[in-house]
Amino acid sequence: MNTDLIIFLQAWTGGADVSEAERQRLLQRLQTDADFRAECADEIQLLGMIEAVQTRPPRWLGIADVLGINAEKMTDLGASDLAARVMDQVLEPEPGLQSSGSRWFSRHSMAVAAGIVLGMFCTSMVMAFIAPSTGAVITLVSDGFEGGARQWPRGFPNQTGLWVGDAGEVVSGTGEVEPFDGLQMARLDPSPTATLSYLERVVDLQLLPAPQGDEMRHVTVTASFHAAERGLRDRYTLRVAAFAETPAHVREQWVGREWREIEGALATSKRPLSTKADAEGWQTLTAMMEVPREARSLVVSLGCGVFQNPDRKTAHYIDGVQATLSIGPLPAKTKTKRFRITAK
Amino acid sequence: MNPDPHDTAALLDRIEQGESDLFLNVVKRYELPLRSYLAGQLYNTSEVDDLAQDVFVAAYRDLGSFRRGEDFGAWLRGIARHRLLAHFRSQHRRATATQRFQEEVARIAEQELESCAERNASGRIERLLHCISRLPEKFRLIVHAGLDGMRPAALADDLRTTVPAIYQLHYRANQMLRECMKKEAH
Repeated sequence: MNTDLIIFLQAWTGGADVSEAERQRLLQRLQTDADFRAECADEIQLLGMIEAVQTRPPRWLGIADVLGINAEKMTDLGASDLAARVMDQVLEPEPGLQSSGSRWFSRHSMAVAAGIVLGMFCTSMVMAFIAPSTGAVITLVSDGFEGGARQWPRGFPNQTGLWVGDAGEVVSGTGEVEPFDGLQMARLDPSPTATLSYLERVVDLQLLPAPQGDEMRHVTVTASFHAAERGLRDRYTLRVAAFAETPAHVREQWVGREWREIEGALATSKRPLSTKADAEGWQTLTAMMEVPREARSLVVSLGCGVFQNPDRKTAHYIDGVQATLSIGPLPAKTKTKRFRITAK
Repeated sequence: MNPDPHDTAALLDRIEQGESDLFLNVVKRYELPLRSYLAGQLYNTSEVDDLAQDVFVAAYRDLGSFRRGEDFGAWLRGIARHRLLAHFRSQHRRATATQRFQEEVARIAEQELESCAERNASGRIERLLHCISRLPEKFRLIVHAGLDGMRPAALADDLRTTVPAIYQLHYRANQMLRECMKKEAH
C-alpha cells in the first residue's frame, strides 16, 4: 500500500494531524509524479461519490426562488430522487439469487417498491407485502423532524411510528446551531436525574418481508448529534435492540432496566461517542446489527448528555435519523450468531 | 454524468421556451454526479450543497450558451470548476490548513479529477450505493461514518485502533467498492 497515499488522504480530509512540511512534500510529489496524482484523484473522487450518495440532497430552495416556483415542489423532487434510488436497490436483486421472471416489474417487486416509495417519507412506515426481496434496502425511519408534532410524549413508546422520551421539542435553527438537515431538529433537554436523556422509538418488523433460505436481515441506524453549549465534553449513544415481543409488549423488556440488563433482547448494538471539549459541528453515529428471524420489534434509542461531569446540564440536538433494513444472504462469518448478537 | 444527450437537449429547449418548471428534471438528473464531483474536491457537505445550488442557478441563467448535443454534465462541471475556484479564493484568508491543501490539490490535479468525473456516470454512482450495502460489516461501518473532521478519531476510539489504521481500512473498503462496481457493470 502506498504510505504517501494514506498520509495524503489524512491531510485532504482533515481527519488527522499532518504537519505543514508533510503537506508541502505531498504537494511537491503530486506535481512531479503523474501516477501518484492519478491515484490520489481517483481516491478522493471515490470519497466524494461515497459522501454524495450517502447524504440526502439539499432542498434546493435557491433554485425554487430563481424558477419562481413553490418550495414544496423542491421537496417532492428530493423525495422522488431518493425513492428512485431505493427502488433501484429493491428492483435489482443480487446476481444469481433472483428467481426467473421476478426481476423487473413483477407484481411482488412493484408492491415492495410502491410500499417503500409511499412509506419512506411518512413518520412511520408500514408495508403489507408478501414477497421476499433479496438485496432490498427498506427505509424504516427517515426523520429530520421536519413535520409532525413539536413535542413528543414522555416515557417509552407504547405505539410505533413516533418518538417518545425525555423532555424536549422540535425546534428551528438557533443561529448558533443549524439543523443537520432541513429546517428543523429535535432539542433534547437534560434529564434532572440521569446522566443521559433519551429519545426512543419502536419499529414494527412484523409486516416486513421475512428472510428466505440463507438470507439475513441487517438494520443500519444513523443519527447526528450536536451540543447546545460549546466547551463541554459530550456523551452520545445510539442503541438498537431487536425483540421477539410485539411492539405493544417491548415496554416490559425495556423500561426500568439498564442497557446491560436487557437480557430479553434477541440482538443489541450500541455506538457510544465521547467528544473532546473542542469538538465542533454535528457528530454522526451509525450502528449496525443483524436482525434475527424471530424479531418482531426493534427499539431505536438515542441518548445525549455531558461526559464525566454530572453537575453540568445542557441540552443537545438530534437530527437526520435514518434506519434501514437490508435483506440479503447471511455473511458466512456471522452464520452462527443468531442470538444475543452484540455489535461493538 | 451521461443521460441521453438528445433527451437533455429536448428538455433544455422546452425550458428555454418558458417551461421553467422542467428545470427540476435537470436538477434531478444531474444532482448526484455534480455533488459527487464537488465533494471530490471539497469534502464538506454543506459547502458542496451550496456550490451545487449555485452551479444549477448559473446553468439555468445561461442555458442559451450550452451547445446542444454536447455533454451537459461536462458543461455543468465547467461551471462548477469556476465556482469552486472562486469559492477557494473567497475563503483563502481564513482557510484552514486542510482547506488550503484541498485548494492546491484541486489546482494541481485538475485534469485527473476531470477524467475521474467523466467516468462517474450515473449508473456507476447507483452501483456504488448498492455495493456499499454489500461491504463486510466493519468496512461498511467505516464507509458510512466518513473521514471528515473528528470522525476518524471517534471511529478509532470505538474500534480500539489508530487513526492511520482507519484510513487504511477505508482505503481497502474503497478497493472492494471498485471491484464490486466493476463486477456489477458487466
